[in-house]
Amino acid sequence: MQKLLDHAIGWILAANLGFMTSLVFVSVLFRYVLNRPLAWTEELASLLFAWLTFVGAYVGFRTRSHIRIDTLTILLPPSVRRTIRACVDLCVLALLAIFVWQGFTLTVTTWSLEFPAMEISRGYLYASLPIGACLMVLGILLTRRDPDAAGQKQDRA
Amino acid sequence: MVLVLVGTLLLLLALEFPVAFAMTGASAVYILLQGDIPLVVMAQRVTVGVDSFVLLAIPFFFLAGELMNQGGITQRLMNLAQALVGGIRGGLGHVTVVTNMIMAGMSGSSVADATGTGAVLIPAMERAGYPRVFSAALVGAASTIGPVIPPSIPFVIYGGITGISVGRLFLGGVVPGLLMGLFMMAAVYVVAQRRGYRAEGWLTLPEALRSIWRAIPVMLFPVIILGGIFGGIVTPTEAAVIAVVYAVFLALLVYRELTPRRLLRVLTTVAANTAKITFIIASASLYGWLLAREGVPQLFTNLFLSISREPWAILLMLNVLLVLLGCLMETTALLVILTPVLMDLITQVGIDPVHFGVVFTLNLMIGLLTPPVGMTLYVMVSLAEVSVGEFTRECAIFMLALLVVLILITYIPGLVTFLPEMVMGR
Repeated sequence: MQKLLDHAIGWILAANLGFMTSLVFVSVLFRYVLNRPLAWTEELASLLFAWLTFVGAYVGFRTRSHIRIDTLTILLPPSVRRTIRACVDLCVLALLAIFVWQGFTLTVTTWSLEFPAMEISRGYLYASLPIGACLMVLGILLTRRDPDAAGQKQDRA
Repeated sequence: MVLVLVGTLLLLLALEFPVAFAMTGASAVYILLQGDIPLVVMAQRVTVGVDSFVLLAIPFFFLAGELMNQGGITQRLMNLAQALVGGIRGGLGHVTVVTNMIMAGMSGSSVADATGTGAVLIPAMERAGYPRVFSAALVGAASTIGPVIPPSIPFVIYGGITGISVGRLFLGGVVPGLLMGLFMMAAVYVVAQRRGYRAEGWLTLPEALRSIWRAIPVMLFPVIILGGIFGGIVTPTEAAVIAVVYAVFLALLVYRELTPRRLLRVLTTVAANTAKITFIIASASLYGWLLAREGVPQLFTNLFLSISREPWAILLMLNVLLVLLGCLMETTALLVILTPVLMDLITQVGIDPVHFGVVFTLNLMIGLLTPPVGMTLYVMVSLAEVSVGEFTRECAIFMLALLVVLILITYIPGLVTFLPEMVMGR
């Protein structure tokens, strides 16, 4: 089940980045080769970039590779360090809960606003954060339940 | 309240929070205590922080570098470098520096360069009899040229935050980057002299010509990227995309060392690695907004101005501060937290923001090599299987070379600003 999720996210990320690349490339072609600049490509690419950021952050939790600074904690005994880690995970979950809650609020309240060129709702941009945050919650829980599957990778800052 | 905002951040960072969450966590605590800011601002600032076309250049420059590593392009660069400088005493050492300098003209990330060139160069140097720790230290140090010679991910981030032209920053990095290479080659020469490393011997002319010929398609990279940007044809983001498309074309169709399967894996890895950095930038957009609201940049400015009003003294203090912080903090975190705080000071004392951007970046590059927190340091240590202590001792002379360049570009601003002013006007 979690393997499926990991794979699915991997595919989504690859597709997103691949599509973003093609999109910007095509827009350059349209501007210089066909002389017909497309107005909406920058907006769409930036929107995809927000999705890439928040969905991609899931992977960082699964591989425990988010950038952290362990200059001080490395001096502590492993048992204390584990306890701190657990508390940190709890706080991060609380923050993610705020993002889910406020992100959805923002998506709903801005739903009637539109991007000037694409003429679609700005909600498509703001929805990236709460949905990404939901995935991050899953990522933390899955990794905590089953620490081995996340690999033994030491996450140095 | 300033204390809450700054103190909480430091506390959370020390507790090993992911950097992004240390920033959003400190912001959340501040907003809840303050009471007059709606919580929805958190979601809004964070999202808007990455809704940016300039920052899109980050995954693209990452991708270009990664594709070069996977597609056999790095090996061809090394052959070219061998033809150019292999005959100098300390041969492969100079080859390492020059390979990294050329690589720097195509990729924007030190860590990507270190991994890519390290995988090719460290085994080659070991076969030629160089101690592994020397090769590791040299590759690590040389890879820091990557983000100073354009294109450069730190410049994109700095430009994205401050609104300063990324093209100008790119041009500003050219001369300092070349100086870094030059001074590092001098350091290699000194070490080689002292330890009796020999030269590899010059290639025969036909051999050299063949290496150069085979590297020509690769050398088109910097021409496309830099020519496109400085010719005013494309934005840095667009140039990065063109570089990616060209890298795919070379690796997939010309050199045939990249399979669609590997391409897919590269895409996934690059996307995940990008997210780690851009999530920090997103969080910094919230945190930086609160810092500005509390007037922290002005406090910081006044603190510095109370010590001195002379640009040279301010730059000296900033350099010392940045080198120290660079030892303790991760570079992206430092860049996104400090840039908005320092801009006020920089403009007030009349330091050119392009000049400062390059000085700042070189400081960060030195920070990549210093323990206890240095990304490139750890990449090299694990790649070459040497200890942090050995690496640091061996790296000292190269750090010295970098410090000399830092002092030079700090106090001779023309080294940085001459090129952008010549090409793009004042």
